[in-house]
Amino acid sequence: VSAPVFVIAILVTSVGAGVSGALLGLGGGILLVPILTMFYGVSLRDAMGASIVSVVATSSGAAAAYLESGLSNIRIALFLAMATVSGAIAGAALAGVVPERALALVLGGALLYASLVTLRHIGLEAAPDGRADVLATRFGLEGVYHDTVLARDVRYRATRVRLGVTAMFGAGMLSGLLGIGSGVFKVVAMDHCMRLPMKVSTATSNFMIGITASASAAIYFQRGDIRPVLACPVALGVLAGAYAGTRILSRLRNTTVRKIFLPVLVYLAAAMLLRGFGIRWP
Amino acid sequence: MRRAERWAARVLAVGGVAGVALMVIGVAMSTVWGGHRTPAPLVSLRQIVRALSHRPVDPGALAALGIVTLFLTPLVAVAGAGTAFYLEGDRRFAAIAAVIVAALFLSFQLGHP
Repeated sequence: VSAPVFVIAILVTSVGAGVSGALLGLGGGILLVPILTMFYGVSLRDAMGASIVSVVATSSGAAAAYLESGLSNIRIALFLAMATVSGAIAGAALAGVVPERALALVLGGALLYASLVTLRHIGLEAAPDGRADVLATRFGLEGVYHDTVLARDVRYRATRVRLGVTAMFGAGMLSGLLGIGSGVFKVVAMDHCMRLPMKVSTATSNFMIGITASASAAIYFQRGDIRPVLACPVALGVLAGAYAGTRILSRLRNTTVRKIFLPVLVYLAAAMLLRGFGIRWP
Repeated sequence: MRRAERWAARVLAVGGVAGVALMVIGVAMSTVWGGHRTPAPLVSLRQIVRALSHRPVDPGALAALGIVTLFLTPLVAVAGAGTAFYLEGDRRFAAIAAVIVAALFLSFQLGHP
């Protein structure tokens, strides 16, 4: 294809990645890397460089709007980011020591379980109130957002914070060990473990993925793995898509977001389990 | 909306748009003028500053500056939120933000995410 057609195709794809990233709290790499490599013939190295740009652009575009609207909870994001970043550093330091396949199997199993729980709770708009958590009370891990669909303010408070922190540390460790983004794990930790509203989980994940990715991005940049010619249309498209995604999320029910999230969860669970069994897919 | 959210949101919005705008300008100039003048990709802030100090401006350096701006945006947003928490007297979350910023710098030093 000609260069202008290639750029337009990349732009359109990136808009889609930005919209889904903003809706689901993912960086978009889960969509972008396979599409760029399989359909556009981009090398895996260049695709991953573009993907890391996509993560930061999604985070910057979406998180700004979510913080303004109150959907993203900065206290929960920072509290959990400590676990994610520590896990990423530990994972990077332990690379080659911890058996990656065993870890992939454990996390794949956890995601499969999360998929089943999501399926069981697919119609649940708000999680039932859990027991008051000491850490949530001490650190003020609670908030309120205006739900335009329900036409009322929704109050929430994190529960089972220790479980959430453990899941976040595991997600960070996986990022450090395998060099993958961990947006899905972050959403699962907040939605399932801490029982936060789904929209708050994806919006808060959007802020967090930028923090984790900025560390990875520096490494990619220093290695010269980011090509501006590819990264530019990706960043532009993703940023536009992320802004559009934030508008869409506010108009959706938590149940709808969960229904969109479920196939991604199943896909990643399968990919992780296959990786654990030594099968690369894709 | 509290100060921490407001500051972080502004940094993310401005940093995201500025980073992408610099990349677009750099790539557009590069396309019109026929590519980068620098022989190798710029991989450090020092190289970018050096390339930008020459006239006419190197489009590749401009695009690279956009990438760096984009990548530093979340880090600056956390630092901004931490400062806001500190000014509001929330030392606990100011310390948490400081730990995250320090851990990210440590990860840069380790050479791994």
